[in-house]
Amino acid sequence: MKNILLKKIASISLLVSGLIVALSACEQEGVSPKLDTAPGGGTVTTFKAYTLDSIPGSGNVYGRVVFWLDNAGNTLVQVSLYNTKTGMSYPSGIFEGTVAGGSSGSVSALTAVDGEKGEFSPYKYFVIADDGFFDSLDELDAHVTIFLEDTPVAVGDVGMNAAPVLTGE
Amino acid sequence: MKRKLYLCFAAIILALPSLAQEITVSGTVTALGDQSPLAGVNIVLKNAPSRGTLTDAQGKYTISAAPNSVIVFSFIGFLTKEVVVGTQNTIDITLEESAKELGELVVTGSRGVGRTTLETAVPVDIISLEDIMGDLPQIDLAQMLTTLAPSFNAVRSQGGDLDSHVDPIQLRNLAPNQTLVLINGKRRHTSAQLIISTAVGSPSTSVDLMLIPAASIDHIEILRDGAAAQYGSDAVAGVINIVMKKGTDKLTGSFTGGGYVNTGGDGGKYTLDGEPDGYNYQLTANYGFNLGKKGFINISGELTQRRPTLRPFVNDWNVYDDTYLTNQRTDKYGNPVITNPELISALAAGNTTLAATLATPQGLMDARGLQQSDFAVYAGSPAITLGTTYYNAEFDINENTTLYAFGGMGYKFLQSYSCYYRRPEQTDRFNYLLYPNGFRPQMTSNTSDISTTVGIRGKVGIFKVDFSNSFGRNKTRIGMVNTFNASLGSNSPINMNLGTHSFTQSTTNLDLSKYFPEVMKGLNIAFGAEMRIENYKIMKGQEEGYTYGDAGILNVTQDGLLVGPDGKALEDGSSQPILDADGNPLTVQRGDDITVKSYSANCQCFAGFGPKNERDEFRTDLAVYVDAELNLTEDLMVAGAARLENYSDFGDVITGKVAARYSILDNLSLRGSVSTGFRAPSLQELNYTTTATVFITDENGIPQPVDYTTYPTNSTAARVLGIQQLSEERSKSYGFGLAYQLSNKLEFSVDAYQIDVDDRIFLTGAFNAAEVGNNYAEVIGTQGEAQFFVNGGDIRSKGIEIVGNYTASFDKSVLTFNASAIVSKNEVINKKTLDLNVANLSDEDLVNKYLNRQVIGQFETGTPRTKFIGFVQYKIGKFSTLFRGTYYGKVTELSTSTNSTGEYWDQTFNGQTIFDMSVSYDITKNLKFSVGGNNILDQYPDLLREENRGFYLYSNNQQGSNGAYYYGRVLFSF
Repeated sequence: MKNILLKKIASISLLVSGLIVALSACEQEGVSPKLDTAPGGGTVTTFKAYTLDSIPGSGNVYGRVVFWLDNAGNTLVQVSLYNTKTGMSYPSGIFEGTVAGGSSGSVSALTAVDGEKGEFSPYKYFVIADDGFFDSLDELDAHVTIFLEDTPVAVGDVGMNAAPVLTGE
Repeated sequence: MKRKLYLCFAAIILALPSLAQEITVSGTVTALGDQSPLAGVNIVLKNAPSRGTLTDAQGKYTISAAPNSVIVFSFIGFLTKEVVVGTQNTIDITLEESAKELGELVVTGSRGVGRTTLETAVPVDIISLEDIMGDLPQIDLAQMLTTLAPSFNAVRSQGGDLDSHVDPIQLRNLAPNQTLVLINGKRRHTSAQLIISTAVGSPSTSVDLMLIPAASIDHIEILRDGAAAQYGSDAVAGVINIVMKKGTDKLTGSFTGGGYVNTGGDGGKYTLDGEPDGYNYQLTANYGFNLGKKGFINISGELTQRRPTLRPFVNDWNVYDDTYLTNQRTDKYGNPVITNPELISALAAGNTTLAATLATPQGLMDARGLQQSDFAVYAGSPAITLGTTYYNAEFDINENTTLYAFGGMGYKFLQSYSCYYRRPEQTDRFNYLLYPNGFRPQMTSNTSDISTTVGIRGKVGIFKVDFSNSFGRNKTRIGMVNTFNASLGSNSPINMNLGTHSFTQSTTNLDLSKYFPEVMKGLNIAFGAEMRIENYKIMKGQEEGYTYGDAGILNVTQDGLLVGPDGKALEDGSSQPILDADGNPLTVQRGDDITVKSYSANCQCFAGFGPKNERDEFRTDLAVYVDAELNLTEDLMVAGAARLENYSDFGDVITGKVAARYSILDNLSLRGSVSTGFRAPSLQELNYTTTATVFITDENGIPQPVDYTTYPTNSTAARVLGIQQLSEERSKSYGFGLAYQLSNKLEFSVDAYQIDVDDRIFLTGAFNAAEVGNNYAEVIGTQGEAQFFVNGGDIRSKGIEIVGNYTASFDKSVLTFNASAIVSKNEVINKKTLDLNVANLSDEDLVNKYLNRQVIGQFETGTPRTKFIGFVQYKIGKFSTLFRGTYYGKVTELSTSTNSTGEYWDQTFNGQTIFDMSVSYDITKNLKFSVGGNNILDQYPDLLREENRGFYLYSNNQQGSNGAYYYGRVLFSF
């Protein structure tokens, strides 16, 4: 009788233990991906693009300047030019007033454009940290000028002085 | 929390001492002949075999037992005797000598009465798993057998898609599908999964031994000889017969916990600083119920959890490329994808020095708290959660008729390191939103397995008759986690169901036999029939796993140039502008679909099974056989068998076998066999098909997705090329050996074998349309690639196996020594010469497409040609120890890649010796404790040469790269 009782106790204990082990052992941990980055990354879709026209007789350099609002609130300025020359560097900047007005008051110096790519170098985007810059871009009385040495080769109005050739929201 | 639970479990076990009223029994054991006392006689209680003792030098013993207990006296070379205790306090015993008791009876390979290993015509290893498994470090069946049987191997993959999801088992260095597995003499179904890379170089199915609980097994017989004429397809290298327990009224079980030390071996900077890993826990139990006096039902269960081991290869492959570091990437519309926001932040702060640092891979990794090792290739044993329940039952309907049934079910979840790390540099499989620093996909499988055999055996007329049906199904749902379909972009799921594979087998057997003692010295005739039905299914997974999405395809909304918001040409996946032949942006029209970004299609790492992969294939096989064993004299036995099979998918096959055994002396016998065999290609080999997508640049410089497909030989792609239907592999086996019983203490056997297999099945290299010509592009696509299973070559495996056992009894102790060795050689003796419809490949190139040197090298020298196992077990009182050394001979891997001087990247790996050890102690009559380890000296194999370090840092074909493993185990018996 005691043997039967003992076996029953043992069987039940085993069953319970087995279930406990089974339940506690079910989880298997996988390898989690590393997601560590600073905030602000990802695809940027909000922008205003303006035309940069060549100045006659200066090598037909033309293209666009694009103001992007990134995910961290920065404004990223991108310049894309055609017909720039490899090996040459093209200083650039945002200046007060319109192209027609001919003001040279600087709003912001921009990075020089690498002639090989027709883009800023070494970084594709010039960063304006002012949180409100992009939102107030439409009120900005300014234009962008691209130089070769000291000579303007391409210019274009931006902000209140020109309608964007393309926008993105 | 879990540790507390395990402690509770241990406490429960410890709190269950026996309470039965017992008496002390003592006596003397002597030999019947000369009445000399016998020392070292094994004395156990039949209902509690863990309770026992040994006789001392004077043959005396003392044991406690209940009056209803049965004491079993056993000693090698003597007949076992059982005595009911009753009221006796003194029980003196005389044991009778018997040559038959020198070993257990073998039933595999003979349809007659059981024979001892000395009497069989072919070599058979008997492994009493029930007796030894408590002292083994290993916790699953395949790994146990690897260390117990020299000709058995189970190379556990540490990665490679689905290769680690089933442990492929091998005999005599042939493929897993050339070994037949039986349970209680009935054919066991294989896994549904086709293992693409096995240790012997060819794809193969395998019986998944992990799904059979070792706790349900009494012993295992390994027949090392071709036996297709007796058992049908697959029995080319040999037969493994698993004999299940029949015991009753005894609850036995164990709880094991263990883990790997993980020192990393000689990996140095190429691996991670190791922390112990691979913890595993296993609970086993077995209990047998009496069904009155007419039968029994024995039930076993196992619960196992294995945590993964991690053996990474920390490489120096670039993580972030320049487009990532300097934020040059765009989406298909030309919008920026900011991948380095840290750089933007530094530029916003005007910190150009920091910006310059962040624009380097190391600088960005430092900023994110990452190291090169976070991007390492991970390999290692997979995580496994496993539960199995098996039963074995018999019931005597009447004196001559027994109804029997056995089977079980199992569930296995497995998660493996199957894939390379997808680095952010690899732009065609990158998505910042989902995996900003890349990702490491892992494969999962959920396997359910069910099997049952029901049969009846008895006597009809003069014949013993056995009629049975065995049903088995293995079903595996394949999945992937931490992945995505890059062509679906951020909308892709990150965990996917890739599809389900299922294999079902139903085998009906009718066996009749009759023993004629009056014919010469005894004749056994057996004959019978078998009908087998098999079904293999591939069921598709979720659509995202096998589709090509439009995340990289731009639908043009207005006529004009293909330019982005900045007015310049849109850039492809490598951030290169998409230009026409004149260097200008492409001119496009409204409605055009342009592949701007060449995002990889399908689930990353392993494409899901789609509608065109789906299969539901059947096969039937009918067989009849006749089998005879004749004792011409007392000393000479001859045996012969013939079998005719008809397969619904490839016709008739006849096989035969002749074997003989001649006893030169009572204790010395010679044996030899010659047999033909065959192996029908599995349904998996005939029908497995899968598609991967790669990108090839078209004439406009735009990468286009193309299919890379493994086609079955019944496909159009195979027929147009001239690939023939797979035919069966035909084999011839020759065996010769001797068995010698030097004394009651020492026996050994030597066996030589040669197995020739014609038309061995291999997987070809890939054929493309340009190579094939003949408008093959119409079948597989312009850029398609096609590969096939083919009968690629004739192979030979030969070797010598030596097995020796020594058992000696001393005063209260027993010493057992076992040594075994296999020396073997594998050869591809004929590469097939083909007549295919291929226009633009030379004959030599074509032959090499069929069978390249890497595959040949893997078959010929990829697994150890030499293996030694030395095994010592010593029992004294309540202690027992086990010490084992295993030598894995050198292996050589051949490569198809060369360096600039034309030297192949081949490598020979030195032989490896590892040691296992365990110590056990009987704490109480019901409880035993065991500790020990596997590979206790933490021996790692050689590092791969630098050029070959891709997925692995170490070779896997010897002891593997998991290193030392230690365990503790509690065994109980009530």
